Amino acid sequence: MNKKILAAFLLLALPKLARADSQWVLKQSTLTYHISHPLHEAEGVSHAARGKGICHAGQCNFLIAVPVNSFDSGNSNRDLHMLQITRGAQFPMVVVRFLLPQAALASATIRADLEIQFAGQTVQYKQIPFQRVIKGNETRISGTVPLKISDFKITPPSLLAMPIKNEVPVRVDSTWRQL
Amino acid sequence: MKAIRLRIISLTCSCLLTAPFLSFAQTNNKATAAFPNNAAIASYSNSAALWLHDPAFSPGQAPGKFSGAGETHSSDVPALCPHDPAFSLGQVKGNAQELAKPPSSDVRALLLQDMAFSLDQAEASAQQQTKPSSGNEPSLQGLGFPPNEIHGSAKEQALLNKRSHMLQIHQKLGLLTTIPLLAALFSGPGAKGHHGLPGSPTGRDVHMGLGILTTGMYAATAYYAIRAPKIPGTKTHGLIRLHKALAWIHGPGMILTPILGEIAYSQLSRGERVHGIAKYHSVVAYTTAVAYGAAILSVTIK
Repeated sequence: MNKKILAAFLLLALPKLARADSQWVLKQSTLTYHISHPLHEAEGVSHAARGKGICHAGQCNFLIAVPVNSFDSGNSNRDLHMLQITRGAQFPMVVVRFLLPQAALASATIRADLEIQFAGQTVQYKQIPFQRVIKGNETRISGTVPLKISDFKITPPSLLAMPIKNEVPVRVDSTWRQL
Repeated sequence: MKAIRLRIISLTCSCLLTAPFLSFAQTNNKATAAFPNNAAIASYSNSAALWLHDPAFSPGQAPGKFSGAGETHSSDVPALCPHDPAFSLGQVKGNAQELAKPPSSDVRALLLQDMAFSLDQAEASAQQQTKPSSGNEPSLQGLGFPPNEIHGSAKEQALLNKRSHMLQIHQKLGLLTTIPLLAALFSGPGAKGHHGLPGSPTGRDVHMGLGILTTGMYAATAYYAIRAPKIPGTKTHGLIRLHKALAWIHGPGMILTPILGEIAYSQLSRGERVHGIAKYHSVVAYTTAVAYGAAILSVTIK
């Protein structure tokens, strides 16, 4: 009788133990912001992002963080000014979180609701499309986040009394590896 | 007796199996469960500052309240808040106690003892499952950034603010200085005269006045650039290097030009022709003006 109870217990417990939990780690990334001014355009690039994703019970929780001072626009004066207006010394990290159903990772286009923490503000951007390409045991995810500096309460810098455009799209190109 | 033991075993199994599922279901609700720093988050615009300084606080677990334009982008945010395990286990405890009522006092004591032991185990397991940033949610600290990169510094921000403020004044003064500079350049021929004939005294006075004004404004412009705080650990690169390099041309030029101009003024006032080193006044002035214009363009175009 006790053996039967034990067998029944194991039958109930095994499916739970066998659930497909998985982890993802960001292997490499390129984040590029683009600013537009009437007199010139500029881009800042960072390769210093780190990220992790944990899939559990059909849901995947992703976190990506990148230091604000890691962006390089090719002009140290511009980078320092960017750091100042984005309050980068006080809030040194850009943190992006998003939840995805595990099944969504299988599709070629992933639409994610991003929660972005930047310059001391938290803003959500909904249904941002990302393209997914699988290369061996690595997955490449790329897309553009339509960031607006006004969303983060950042005063747009200006040159010759002309401010930059409010739209500062951020191009994301990342390679993930499943552990 | 056997039936009682069977009931205990089956109850224990159901507790162990269902407690994790209950905790998972509650984390997906929009519940603002009790959270350590909830009371401290008066304005969400400062939440990042708070969580940066409190490792126990994870931004993904903040209540779903966003400030300013962010609210237009937000909807029901799945609050990743830890649930209160006492809620679900309290119900189980109540049921367990009801089951334990009918038998005799000795058996009841034995049952309660067994139940308490089992429930303690279940509670510990549930708390383990719902601990913030345990196994189901990545944390910022877990990404491997050094602590000084995660935590901000108001002092450094203040330094950056001061630097930016001073450089903005430098920029404005620099642009305003171009006005008397150009005016002085255009008034130069009126002071010098043509074909060996000296210029008018008025022309010389106007040119001198504009030159002095230009020198004064230039000095103020240079002051704000030199005195702006330097950020340690910053390597200068890009066109700003050209801007700084050109200062070695127009800087000495702005010192030399008025000196040579003063010598030339004296000679002309005495009725002499401009001669000696003073005859280089206009060359130095034009070279200074070209270098100055190039310095402005280097930070304007790209």
